[in-house]
Amino acid sequence: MSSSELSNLLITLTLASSFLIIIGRRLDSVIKAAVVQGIVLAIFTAVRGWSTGMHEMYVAAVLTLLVKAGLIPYILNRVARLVDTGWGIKSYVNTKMSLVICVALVIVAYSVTGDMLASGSAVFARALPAALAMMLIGLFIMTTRKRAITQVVGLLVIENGVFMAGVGATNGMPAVIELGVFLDALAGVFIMAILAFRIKRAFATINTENLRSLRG
Amino acid sequence: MMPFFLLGLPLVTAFLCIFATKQKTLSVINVLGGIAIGVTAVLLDWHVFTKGTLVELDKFIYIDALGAYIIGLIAFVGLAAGLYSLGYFAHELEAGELAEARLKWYYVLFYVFVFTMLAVVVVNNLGIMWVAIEATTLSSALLVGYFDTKASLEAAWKYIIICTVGIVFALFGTLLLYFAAVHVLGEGSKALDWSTLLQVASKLNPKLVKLAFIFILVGYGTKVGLAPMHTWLPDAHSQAPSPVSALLSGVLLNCALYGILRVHLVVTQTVGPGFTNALLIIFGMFSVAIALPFILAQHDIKRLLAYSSIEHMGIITVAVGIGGKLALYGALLHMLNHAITKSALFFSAGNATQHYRTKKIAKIKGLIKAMPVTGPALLLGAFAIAGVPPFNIFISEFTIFSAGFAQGKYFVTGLLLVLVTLVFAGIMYAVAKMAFGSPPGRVAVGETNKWSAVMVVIPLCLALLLGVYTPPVIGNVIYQVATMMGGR
Repeated sequence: MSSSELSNLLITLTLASSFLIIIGRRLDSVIKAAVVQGIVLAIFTAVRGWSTGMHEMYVAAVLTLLVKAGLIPYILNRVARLVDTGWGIKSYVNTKMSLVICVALVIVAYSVTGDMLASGSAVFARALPAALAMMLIGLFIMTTRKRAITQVVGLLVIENGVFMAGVGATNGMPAVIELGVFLDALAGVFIMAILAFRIKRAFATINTENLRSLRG
Repeated sequence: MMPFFLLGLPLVTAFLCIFATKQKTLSVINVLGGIAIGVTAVLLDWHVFTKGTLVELDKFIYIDALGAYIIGLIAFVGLAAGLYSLGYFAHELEAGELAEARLKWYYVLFYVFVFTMLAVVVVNNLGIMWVAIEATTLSSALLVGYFDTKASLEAAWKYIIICTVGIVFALFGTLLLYFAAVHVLGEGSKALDWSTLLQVASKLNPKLVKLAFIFILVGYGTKVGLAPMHTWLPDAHSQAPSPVSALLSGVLLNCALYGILRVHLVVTQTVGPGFTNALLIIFGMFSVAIALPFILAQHDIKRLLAYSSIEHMGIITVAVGIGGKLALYGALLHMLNHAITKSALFFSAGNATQHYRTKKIAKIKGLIKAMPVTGPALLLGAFAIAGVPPFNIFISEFTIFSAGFAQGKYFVTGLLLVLVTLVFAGIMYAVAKMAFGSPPGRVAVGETNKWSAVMVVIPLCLALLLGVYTPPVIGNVIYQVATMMGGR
């Protein structure tokens, strides 16, 4: 299997792992699915490092593994345990309908970006539509799931999509910027965790359905 | 060296605040820190506007006229908000709304927030700038939720979620821009330096660059408060402590707009001005139009001011979209005028809400009688923000309208004029309801404290001063920035 075929496979797997998040029925399985996505993304990054010969990519791969598949899910798990409001997923749209909508979103993403990059590199041309699809799926998760933690997972899916496009670009993002993006993602989740705690303290739940008093 | 001082001072101030416990110590650190940042900013701006662009660390830090101008804004509003915080929190502590032990975290977050905003403006690399803009969201989200009430937590949650999503889209746009640049410049982080991008802009792939601009406009536009991505703004600006509201409205929105402007300048070089200008006008006009009904039917004084910020950011965006030297001059002047006037208004609204213990417009009555300084100040501030002469906003709005008509953009300018007039009616109606009449019996006559009253008067005097007379220094500075931005 050539490196570009391997890359394509991993891109597809990353996108597919978003569907694991969609079908998760409990909070812990959703977080586990996010871990899976982080791991696949880390492998993809490492493969890209190997095929482009850029060593910073390995650093990025290790960071992805640590932050996206380690620290962030750990924080989310702790928050879920500490605020202890049960493990059920609450959603405005049921699982079957969610699946149908997300498949439609994937089709939209591929048809929109299809002829965008005739001149682009092969891997980036594959990564771009998948990245856009993940951004749309992430948005869908954020808008339909009611609980704060699942919304953060949706955000994570969007970020992973953008990151995948970055890694898929000819030479990846410059290392400094990648580092900054990781730090931001981590700090963001950390601050959201703090807020989720306080919300729990004030409302006795982290169901964002209750966050509806500010209007007009 | 100056840029390092500029970035270092807020961090040092924040760090010192961690170790202070007493309100007095914190006040001293806050005042000294704010003044030091202000002085450094003035020196730095002096350097940039007399000797030209400031470059440090192999072009990692790159401050040109536009950057220096925004630095001036940040330092000014930062100092004003810092000083206003003294009286504001003195009252909160007296009223027992806040424990003294928590006060230091306010100042720590406040100066970290100032640091992140300054970082946005001094860096050359669009990727680092993205990181800095995201950092502004993170640091200010905790300030928005500072009071730990249900409403403020809700606002903070919405703020961080909506802005983070928005900003990830901007990252995607930045990535597309990088991808376009790499083909021309080769790999390396220099391919994202806007100073480099400007030079090679004409060689970039126009299709990719256009897509990049759309993502960046939507992404940073979320933070600017452009409709329809503005939904977090009224919540965050109304729930934050009033000095923070001033900082959010006065400069944070401008920092995000700065991000759009940088990319706008590059994209204009690649595909010509038509594409970006049309998008800026559409989003800007839509923001003004969306703000209108919410201003007309508003029940909450701070939300009223927040929607007015959406309106004014819309006006600035439209003005940039109109393009040309005069319109750019108007847009830049409007940034300054809006920052000053909105600070005065948020400070007076802060005093009023503290005194009346409510934000509801219907429950604040007879403000002029109850608060002899804040009441008239709020009324005059409302006149100023609505664009009545002889206040400063009138000058910049007038400049923008005449630039629009001079360029033959009759429809756009005419529509903007109509919307702004309607907003004027809405703001005056709401504020007049609060200012006149007699106060309810439970409300005592007098200001919350002297210092809070003084801090309302200072920015208002500046607003009046800039309305009757533009000092040549400011005129020259803005003229330089407008020229740099390619105004013809």
